[in-house]
Amino acid sequence: MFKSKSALVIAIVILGVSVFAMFFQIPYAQTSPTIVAYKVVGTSNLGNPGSESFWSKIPWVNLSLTANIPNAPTSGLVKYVLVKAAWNGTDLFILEEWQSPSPAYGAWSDSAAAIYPEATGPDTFRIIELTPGVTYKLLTNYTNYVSIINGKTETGRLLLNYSGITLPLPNDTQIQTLPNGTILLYHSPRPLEDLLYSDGMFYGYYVNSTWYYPDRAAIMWYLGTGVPSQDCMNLGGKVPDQTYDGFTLKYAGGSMAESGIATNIWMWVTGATWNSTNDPAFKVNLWQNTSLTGLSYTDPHNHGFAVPLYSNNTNLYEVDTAGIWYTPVKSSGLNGSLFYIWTGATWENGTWVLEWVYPLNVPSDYLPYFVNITANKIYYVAFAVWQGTEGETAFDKSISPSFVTLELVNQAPPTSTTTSTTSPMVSTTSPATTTIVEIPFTDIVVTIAGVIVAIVAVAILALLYRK
Amino acid sequence: MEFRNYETLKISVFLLGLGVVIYLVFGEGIAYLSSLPVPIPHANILAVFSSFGFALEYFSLIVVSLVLSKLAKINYIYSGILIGSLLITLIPGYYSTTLWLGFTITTMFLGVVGLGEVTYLLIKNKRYLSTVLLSPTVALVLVLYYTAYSLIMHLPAVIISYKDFLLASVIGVLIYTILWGKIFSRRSIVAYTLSIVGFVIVLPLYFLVLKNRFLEIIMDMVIPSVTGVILFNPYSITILILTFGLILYTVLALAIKGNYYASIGYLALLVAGFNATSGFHFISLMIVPPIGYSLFLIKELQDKIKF
Repeated sequence: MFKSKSALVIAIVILGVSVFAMFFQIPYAQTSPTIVAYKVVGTSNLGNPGSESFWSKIPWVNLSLTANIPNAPTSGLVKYVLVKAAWNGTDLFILEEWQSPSPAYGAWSDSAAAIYPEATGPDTFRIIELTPGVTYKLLTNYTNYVSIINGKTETGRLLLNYSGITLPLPNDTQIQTLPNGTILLYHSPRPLEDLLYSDGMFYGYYVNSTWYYPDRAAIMWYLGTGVPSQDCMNLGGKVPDQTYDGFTLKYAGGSMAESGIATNIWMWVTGATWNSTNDPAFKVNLWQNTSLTGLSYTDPHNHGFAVPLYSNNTNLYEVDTAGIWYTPVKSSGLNGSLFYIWTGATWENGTWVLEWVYPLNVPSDYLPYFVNITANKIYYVAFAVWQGTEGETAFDKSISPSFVTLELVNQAPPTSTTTSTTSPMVSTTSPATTTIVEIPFTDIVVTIAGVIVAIVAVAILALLYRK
Repeated sequence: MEFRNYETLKISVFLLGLGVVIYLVFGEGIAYLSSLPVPIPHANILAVFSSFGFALEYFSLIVVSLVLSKLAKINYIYSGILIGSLLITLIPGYYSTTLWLGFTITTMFLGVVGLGEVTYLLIKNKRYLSTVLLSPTVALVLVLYYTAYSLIMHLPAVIISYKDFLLASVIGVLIYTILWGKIFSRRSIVAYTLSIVGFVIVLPLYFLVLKNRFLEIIMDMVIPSVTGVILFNPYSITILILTFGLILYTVLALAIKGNYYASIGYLALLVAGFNATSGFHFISLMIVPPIGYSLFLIKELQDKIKF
């Protein structure tokens, strides 16, 4: 078959190495974009995030975001987020900026409101819009069920039907039909999100001028030594194998999908952790009241913060003992953990600017659940953003499609000429921000140097093979 | 030992094609979907096949570039990059250094030089019509290089209709396929007829998307995620699916007609090239397009190649 022995040998070697690669990782050279946290002198100013002088020297990294729910028109509305990072030896600073035409002022976190009803705003709610074409029927033989249809309580169980796929709904489910036939389903329990999504009935979240979710941002840190392949979280119930209205849900909602991995997530939400009078929880001083939070400590200096979360294949946990949003990871200890990550945020001219501050000297009892960050080591991070007024709610959000790498380096930031300008849009009621990102000087030098090296390589080749 | 002969080229190009297809199906086809909240059964096992496909593509690419260096000298540099870049990973955190950023630019620029050298060889050997028909493909690769450059340098996103560039490229290569060799012969007719399978294979998806808005919305997200062909107009998904059908038809027809090298070269060029829209990920993928383009030279300059 092979006249040339060398061809046979080469084919065997290629196949052999490829089979080897199935079981042992071959380190191919990568081109991944990296967020570099430069060493700076200075500290944060959370009252005016992004104003610190060191930020002007650091270029933005533009991370494209994608829809978490591909078929939902309310998912993936934030197309990109700009990120930069720095550290001063004791704290890590991360600055984020993303476009958001109308901020979710006054929106409230139902978890915070659950411990203090005063921490609410007007009418905000989570309402699921069902896929166009979904119909409903009331099964009146379920006499022990009640359903609320268009504000009227009726005896019977609701049954949804989408192209022949049927889904019976739990007791006390509330729906409303709009004049165009759209069905709205009130509340959004995690198991029901999973069931509706799996049956293609979840279209998106319904919003109008008063019904919307808070704006939210999150950073996910991979806790592990290998390279994670995906940042996806499972849909599911409150706990694994939860039985919900006759259905068994395999996963816990928010648990990590990739087998064997764990993550630390920082969650900032305008309805609870944003130090502003537009935040209902801060407005009523919720975080200073230990009898309401159930914690033995309060928010020091009443600053904005990010809720620390921990997710593994089992569940999504809140890293404190109160469990205001999710199941608490521990029942004791973790003193101060809820307010460990500081944040500051401002919204101006259609753009959110959010700064995160993470003290690097993490207390040892936090460490299994918090990321331990040191210099000159690669960390895998993922970003998510929610625009509440546009419908991005709960699991429906804009996410970076995979982990990107972040590293703290000992170098000072390069000289950058990044600028940002604001210009009002003609004929619209809301101003728009245009961010002009000029190429940093170092990038111009790198480009020119890269091209020169290529030309030199080609010239040497031409010299070697000239006739 | 001179291993750079037709037989080595033939087997390594075959392995390259096999690697491209396996990595496309098990690697890109699954990895980019993994951000969706859909459990992918046995994803870890499928990832093993993806590693196999990528290794097959990588190592056969080294051999192909070494053999092709007899034709286009730039391939000497490509094989050097492929072999050398395996060692760079010994330096921890190499990819966050400015030096590596510079090397990435060098590699991309060498890719452009490679496209130029192949085009020069076509013109030098009076293959004017082929040059014209392949020029949309060259333009597509140049656009993709700029897209990757803008991503790596964090410049504003390139808003351009990739679908139109892709369509122009495949129409050019389709005409090239028809004109290559004998337009009408028993083998040509068989090629034109059998390759219809490649086009027909996408039709169920086309009709599904055409008639079902729900699936159209899903495919608007899924297909660009898997293939890298970003759509700025979501209603273009139908024409994009038909374009994929045309690509499969062209690749099959070219192979059955007898230009097996160009067929695999074109497929590898497109699959690797569209990784540019997410930053290429791997250095090796940056130099696949010029190597794929070089494979058109094999039959074009058949009478002049001395292996």
